[in-house]
Amino acid sequence: MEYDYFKLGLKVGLEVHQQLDTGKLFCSCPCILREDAPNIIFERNLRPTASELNSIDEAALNEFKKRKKFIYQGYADSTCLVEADCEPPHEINKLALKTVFEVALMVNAKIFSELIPMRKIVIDGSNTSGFQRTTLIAQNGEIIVNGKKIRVEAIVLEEDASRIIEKHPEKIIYRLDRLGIPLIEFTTAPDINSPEEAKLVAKEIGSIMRRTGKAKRGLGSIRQDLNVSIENGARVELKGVQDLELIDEMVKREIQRQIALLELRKEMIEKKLIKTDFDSEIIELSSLFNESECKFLKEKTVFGIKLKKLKGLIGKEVQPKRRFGTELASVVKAKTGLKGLLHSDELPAYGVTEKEVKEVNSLLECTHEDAFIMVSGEKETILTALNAVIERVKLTLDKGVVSETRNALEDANSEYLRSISSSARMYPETDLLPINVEEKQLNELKKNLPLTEKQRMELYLSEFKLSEKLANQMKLSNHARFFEKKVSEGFNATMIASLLLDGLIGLKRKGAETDNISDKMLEELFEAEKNNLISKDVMLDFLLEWSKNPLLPLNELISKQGLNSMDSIEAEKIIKKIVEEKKDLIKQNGMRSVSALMGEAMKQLKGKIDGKKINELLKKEINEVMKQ
Amino acid sequence: MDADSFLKKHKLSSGSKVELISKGETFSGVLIPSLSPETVQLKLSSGYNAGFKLSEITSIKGFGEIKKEKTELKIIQKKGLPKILVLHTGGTIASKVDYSLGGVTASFAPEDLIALVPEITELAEIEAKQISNIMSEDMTFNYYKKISKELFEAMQKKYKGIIVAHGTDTLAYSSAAMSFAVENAGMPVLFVGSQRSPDRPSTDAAENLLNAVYFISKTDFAGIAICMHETISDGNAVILSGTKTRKMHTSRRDAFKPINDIPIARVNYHKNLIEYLKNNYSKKSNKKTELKNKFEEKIALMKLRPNLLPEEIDFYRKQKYKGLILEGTGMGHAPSNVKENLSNYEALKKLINSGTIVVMTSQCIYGRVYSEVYTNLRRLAEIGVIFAEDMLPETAFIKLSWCLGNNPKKAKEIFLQNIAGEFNERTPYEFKVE
Repeated sequence: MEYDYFKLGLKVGLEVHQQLDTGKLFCSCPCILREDAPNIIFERNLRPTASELNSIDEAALNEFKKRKKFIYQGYADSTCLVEADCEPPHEINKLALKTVFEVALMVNAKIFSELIPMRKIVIDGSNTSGFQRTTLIAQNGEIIVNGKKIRVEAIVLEEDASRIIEKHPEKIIYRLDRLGIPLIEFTTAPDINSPEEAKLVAKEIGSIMRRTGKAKRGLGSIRQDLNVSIENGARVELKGVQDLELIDEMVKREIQRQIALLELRKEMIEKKLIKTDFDSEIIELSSLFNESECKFLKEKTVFGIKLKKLKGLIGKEVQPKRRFGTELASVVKAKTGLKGLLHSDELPAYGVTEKEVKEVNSLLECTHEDAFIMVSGEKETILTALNAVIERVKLTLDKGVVSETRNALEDANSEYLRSISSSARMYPETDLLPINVEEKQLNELKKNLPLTEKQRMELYLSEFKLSEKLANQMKLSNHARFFEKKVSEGFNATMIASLLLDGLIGLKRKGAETDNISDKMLEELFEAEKNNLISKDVMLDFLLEWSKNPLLPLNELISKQGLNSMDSIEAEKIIKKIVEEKKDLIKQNGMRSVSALMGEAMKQLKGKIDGKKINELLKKEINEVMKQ
Repeated sequence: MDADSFLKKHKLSSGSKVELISKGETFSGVLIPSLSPETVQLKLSSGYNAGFKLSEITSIKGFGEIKKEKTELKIIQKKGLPKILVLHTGGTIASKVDYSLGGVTASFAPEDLIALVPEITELAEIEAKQISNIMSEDMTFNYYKKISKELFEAMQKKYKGIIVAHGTDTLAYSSAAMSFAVENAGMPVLFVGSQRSPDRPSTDAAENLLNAVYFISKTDFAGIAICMHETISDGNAVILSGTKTRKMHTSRRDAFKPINDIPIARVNYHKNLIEYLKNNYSKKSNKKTELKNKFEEKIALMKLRPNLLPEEIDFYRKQKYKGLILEGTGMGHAPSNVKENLSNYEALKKLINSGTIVVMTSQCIYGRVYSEVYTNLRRLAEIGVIFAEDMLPETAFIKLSWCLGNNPKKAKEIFLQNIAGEFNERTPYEFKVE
């Protein structure tokens, strides 16, 4: 469906979170996500701090005792006591700070002269400390997209949270590898007026981040939140959009949802419904389903409510394959953990018979205009769930659209997550000093800001003499700054570009974890080559292995591989000599002479280099001779 | 001009709502107490704080004051539960955050303690009293006097037990001091500290307090002990001897370890668990509780190390110190044997001859000192250095001070008696090195 966004009064703002590959923000651990088995495990209980509470009564105490336990998994060699909240934060990561300054300067935002690291209270367990460290860096910038100015409201440097591995009713298992990875939070004003524009702005922000050369890559390394509102609707925050290509569709779906809900409200008003119409009694229905075919209800505790005059409306579609009933179910799910509910517009189905529907209708005293909702589970939870349903229906009548935070789903729909949190509870991180920003440092950075894509194109074509194809690819690469640096050091531009582009793509096909390859690693590798520790032709082989095990120091990798290239170069000489001596044999027998010469080569090189490598070198040299 | 006089000049102070112009941009927010003299800091409407250099502020205006967030915590304590007294001395465990201005302050009200661990209202009726507000590195013997007097007086009342909330740095010194000062304690007294401050949701203060309250409400143990985390996980706490425990890590939750000892018990409120690990822990007896709380001030603790100079030892003689604890190397050695170090030996001899009691402990921390194993050790014993068995250097320091304070004439004799489980005759295998 096409909408007139101007008429709708569409306003969209973006909040982009980009992970940085600079090492963690407050400790010296690497920014690496891992799938191997963790070897550190501990357990914590988080609690609201004393300042958060107003009263302590039986109910609050019960809530308190129902709190989830948090289990944390870590790795001895890549997470430390800082992530475990057993050590104060170290000084803020200088490289991450430099990178966020660059981003701020690139969009002309005003950097504060004194930065104050804050603690933002978060007690869902995703931060071991119970707070996220976050620092406001700059405000009031702007980016230009398609000639239109989009204001940048804030640029923040914060630490990423732990990732959820498993969720159980009584506990959540988190992994610490992600905790503390630097994140740039980049927030625009709601200046975006169409879904397509939202996507373009998101792309532009992504490109700004990547141009620093420090943006982390891979799944989940950039996450977008969208703030969407239309006139008469409400501001809704869509959280965690991971796929850039979905952004326009997400916005469209939210518009669709808000319009549908506003229509629903209109229909409710036309039916002369008022809020108190939904103060219906919650009635137990368990006895009706003792013999039921429906596995959700059979021999379960079941309660239901009547929803006056809502027959047909519960089934109203708000997003593709999502009905108003689904909306209600997702509220129930978020607030109680129950999987869902059954509503009259979808019945009979799921093993519930027509006869049973009739019985429910009669017990709840529903007329042909009324709808009903049923929930099964534990009595206390059901009551919470049904009250949440009543609350939600009343809100829909009252406002149509509720201002809230919703979870972005993979199919571009969204589901209720929580109400929009009032201003976050924040106080200064008492373990860190404010950071003084020197004007001199900023001026230095300004002189060396990453080039724009256009500037890169010009430089690569006219000065570096790259082919158009390579230049086009290179300007978008995360390694562009590294590339520029190497060329300025005298390396051949086409050689470096091919290595960084085709070379890495080739490696990825061979199974390399190319997202792990940082500029720092590349720099070390070039250094090793310069010092003759490895030869040029094995650089990519090293990268393949190193990317799978980036925690290993390069020198260890070199000795582990057993093909220290000093040996390799030495071996080449020896093999050359053998081949030279048997030239005639080779000319006669061609490649068959490999096996004949292998014995001699092994004799001379045994133990110094592995056999496979000898075989390779031998073939190469024999080939050379045959070409002559 | 510094920030204070700058703000005074504009009739502003922390809590003032202001609008300022810096580098051509306008910002509004609430003034918060500034940490540096060259900047003013605002809490912006986003909740973030940011600082502005005085030299860059071209205009600043005030718009009144923010209303102080005042939340009165309503707590109804159940009657008929065992009464527990919480004595606050200060330290990390007393910190509380104030979000309106964003500072962390000290708080000692019982409500704040309960707010931290509401579960304790089901276990006990809590009374709280503040006796000092210092970080524990600032403890002096005067405070020991005060705390022990409070403990002694509370023991005459109908409490089930007492919790002493204390900074962790010198917590074990204080627990040792109380172990000597309050003889025959008639109820459990648990020292509780916090390695990670209570302004954070992950604080260990909560679990330490909860487990301490739980233990006190159920136990027949009587005496001075420490209750802290057993591991870096929440859940288990250990009850540790007041005289044989040491802070072994700067920041971990499980920093407190038994030294040449095992824990008295393991406690876990969540699992309703109390597991006694020592069979012969002290229980309430018919003996009268007595207060002996004088501590001699002229006492020192000295770490022996390579290249020690005799002037350092001479200093204690010239300043008329009554006691000196040596933290010797290994089994209790001092650099005093070869030609270059003979002057140290002479200095020690002179010190002892002048009447100062000199005690040898080990900087190995784990294990025992011996006066007879090597000739070098025997030479020290010969001149009258007392070897303090497997006593912790810190405990020896407190004990000697207490001996000299309460009975200077018999100090040496009393020092060698086992008063509060501060040394062991046997060294069982289970005394671990952690």
